Amino acid sequence: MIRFLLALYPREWRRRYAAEVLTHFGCERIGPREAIDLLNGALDAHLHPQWRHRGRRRHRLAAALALLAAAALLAGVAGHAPALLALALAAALLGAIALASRRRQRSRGWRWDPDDPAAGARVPRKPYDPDPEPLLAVGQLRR
Amino acid sequence: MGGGLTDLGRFEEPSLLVLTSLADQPRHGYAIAKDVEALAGVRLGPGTLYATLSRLEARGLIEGLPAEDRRRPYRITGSGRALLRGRLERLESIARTGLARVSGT
Repeated sequence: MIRFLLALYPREWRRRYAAEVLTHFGCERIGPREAIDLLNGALDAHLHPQWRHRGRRRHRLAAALALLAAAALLAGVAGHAPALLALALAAALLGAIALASRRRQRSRGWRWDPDDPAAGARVPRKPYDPDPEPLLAVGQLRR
Repeated sequence: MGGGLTDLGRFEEPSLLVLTSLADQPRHGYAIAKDVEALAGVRLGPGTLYATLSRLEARGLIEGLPAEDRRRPYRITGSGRALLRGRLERLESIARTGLARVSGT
């Protein structure tokens, strides 16, 4: 259980603290209170600039909303609170929308320029050939 | 590096407790949690504890020592000690005044 909850933390945070947490708290019984505390910690770490990973903004938002949904779900189930369950559903929906939304193209209007040294890493598209050489000659597959 | 604790929000009280726990000797995470529980009756969950430790470390108020058997002890720094002393003196002054007022003296 604790390993699953630690997997929700940012990678940098896990590199620094996960082994310690596992050593200290791995054998402890993780109840709903501790699970919510760890989920809160994961949400906090994702939002804190110190540990924020360099993923796309919508991925970070989706991760934060998924964690919020999980925390609210746990709290709602543990406390029999329908309002928290509704919050969990709303957060999960928003997370799914954030993940599904298309990223706006940043390179709108860009064209490859073969003389531009900065474009060296790009592979130029092969010019259109209206009469390409066939990969297999006609009748080659016939026995 | 910020020096105060007031901008830590919900981590202000855990920060004060963790600094108090480390004031006499270095301790690792689990020992800090147990010491805080004995000292103040506050049970710090692992999420809150490590969020607090990372904030205090980032502010230079505590520092991690080399890990021993996957357990990293933490030690209070000079600036952490000075900040803790200031906060405790202020709390002591408030407690003294409050107690005097409650007693009606």
